[in-house]
Amino acid sequence: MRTFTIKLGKRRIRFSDRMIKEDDEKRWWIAPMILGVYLLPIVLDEYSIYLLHLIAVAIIGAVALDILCGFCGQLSLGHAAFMGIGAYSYGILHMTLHLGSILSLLLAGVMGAFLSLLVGIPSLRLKGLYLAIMTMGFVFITDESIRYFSTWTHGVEGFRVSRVIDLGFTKLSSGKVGFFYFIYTLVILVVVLARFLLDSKVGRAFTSIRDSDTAAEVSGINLLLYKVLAFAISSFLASFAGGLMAIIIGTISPEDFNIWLSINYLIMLVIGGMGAVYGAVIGASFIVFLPEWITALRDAFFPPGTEIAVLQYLIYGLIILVFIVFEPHGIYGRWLVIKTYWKKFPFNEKRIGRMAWILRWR
Amino acid sequence: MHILDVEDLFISFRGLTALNGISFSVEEGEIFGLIGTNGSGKSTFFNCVNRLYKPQKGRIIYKEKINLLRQRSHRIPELGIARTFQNLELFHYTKVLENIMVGLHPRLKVRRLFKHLSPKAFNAEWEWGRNEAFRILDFLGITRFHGRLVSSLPYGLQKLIELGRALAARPDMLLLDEPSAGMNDQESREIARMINSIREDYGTTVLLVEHDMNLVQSICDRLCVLDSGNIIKIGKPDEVTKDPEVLKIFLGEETDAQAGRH
Repeated sequence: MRTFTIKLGKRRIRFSDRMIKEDDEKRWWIAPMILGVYLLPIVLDEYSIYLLHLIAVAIIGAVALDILCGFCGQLSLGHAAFMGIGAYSYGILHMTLHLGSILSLLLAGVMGAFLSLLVGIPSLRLKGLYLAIMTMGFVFITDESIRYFSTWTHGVEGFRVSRVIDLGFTKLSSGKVGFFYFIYTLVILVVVLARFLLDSKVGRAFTSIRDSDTAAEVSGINLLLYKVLAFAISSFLASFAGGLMAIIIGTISPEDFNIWLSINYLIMLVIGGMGAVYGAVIGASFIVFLPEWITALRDAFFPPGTEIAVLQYLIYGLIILVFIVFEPHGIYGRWLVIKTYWKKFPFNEKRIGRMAWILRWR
Repeated sequence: MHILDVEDLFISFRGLTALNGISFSVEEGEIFGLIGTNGSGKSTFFNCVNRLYKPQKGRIIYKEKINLLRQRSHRIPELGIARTFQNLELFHYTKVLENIMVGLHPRLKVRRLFKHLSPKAFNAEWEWGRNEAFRILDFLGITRFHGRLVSSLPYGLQKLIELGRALAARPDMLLLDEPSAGMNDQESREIARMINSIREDYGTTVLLVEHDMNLVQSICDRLCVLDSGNIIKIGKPDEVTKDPEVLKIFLGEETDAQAGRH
């Protein structure tokens, strides 16, 4: 333990790095933050609430992808496939087979987790880019399957899903305040549980597989079990988010779940900070809000009639470039640097950015 | 009691024989050294014990009843066998403390996935794991580095951290692959002292692959000399180092070759 003492007048203050670590784990700001989120509908209009719905889905999806890519190190482009599986499973279970909403949502998640075995088991042999390409193939297969089995999925014309969810004691329709509370309760649950899971031995097993799988294996970690587990948890959450997305947007079609969705989620992770649950939350919020900011930007600075799509891809590209080059740990990484700087204020180390990232919350 | 019985172990890689039917036993509680030239099959033997390689023939009996070759590789640490590597295998982008905590994995009690989600079980296990990891860091004398990033530390310390990760599993048998490679004299004396105290404090049997003959002679109870997959000699260090055949391998065969040329 590294300790040092400073004198302030007659008082002696002892510092140690164990103390600083302990101090990091104070969680006082979680309760006010949850309260703040719950109070949002009072001040917001209907469109903003709808946008917050989309952010909620994006947060669950991004946390799911973060567990797989950020923690377990299995680069996956198959995220859209699992969200699609979730959305269509929910549609078929709820609309066609008339099962209850919550049951259908959970079964959609289980469906995704089950199908993830198809990509999870080969991941024992495939690594890095090869795994990414294989999972990308899974997206194409899912996309084509949705088009092919059009008696169940209604193919390209789109599947209309009820925008009302029945909780038993009450009915909530998406876009309304009640649904907002429902979906953000889920988000908070997912974030908190993900934090617990990733700080336990399961999370340590995931990060050790990411860093060196030989060392993980000789430390007694079952590579197959934990890789499949990472895929299953990630796909369960992704499919669950897909089901919620189906409820929110009302009509789902195969184009909603193509490869761009996967890439979009990877961008969220890179911008928020890969390998940290809060990074995923921040990244998801940022990327979903971005088109709104771009619209505001166009109205302010560009001649009327400038196409929004052109501007959007331009700014997307710029932001990714800037983040990859200057801030690889994302927005959350930068926030940690600022926080650590002020926390250790008179005793700053060099290369604080690196240290802050290492000492981060999961 | 024999902690390890190797019987007729044979492994070859596409025709290149790495271990040619070797047999020997290791007593419980001894420090057993494996020496030999490069490519003589020392590390291959370790990889066979750890089930990273699959031998074509032979048996490795652990504690006189378990055939290790029938076990899955992640089960080996649970049985009480931990190892280090010649080229470090560490989790370079995590903290020292977490590296040690990964080594605790086989000893953690909570098995069910959903139990990890309950704060009580989670906190209890986390607290236990952290204390246990600090105890190991204290034993190795590197507690003050616990919050540091592994890749920011010097090589000698990284070696110690890898040793710590192996010790975290509380092994009955420790396989050390060149513990003093790349270290200076003082550090390698330190390692020798450490290995001795591991045996005394934890009662661990130590298998050691090493090139540094001073270290080997000072700490090993018995030595086994390997040459291209065959055992040349097993015995006490001073016997082995005086053996003419062993000397021939280690000092080269110049005398014969020169004699033949003239």
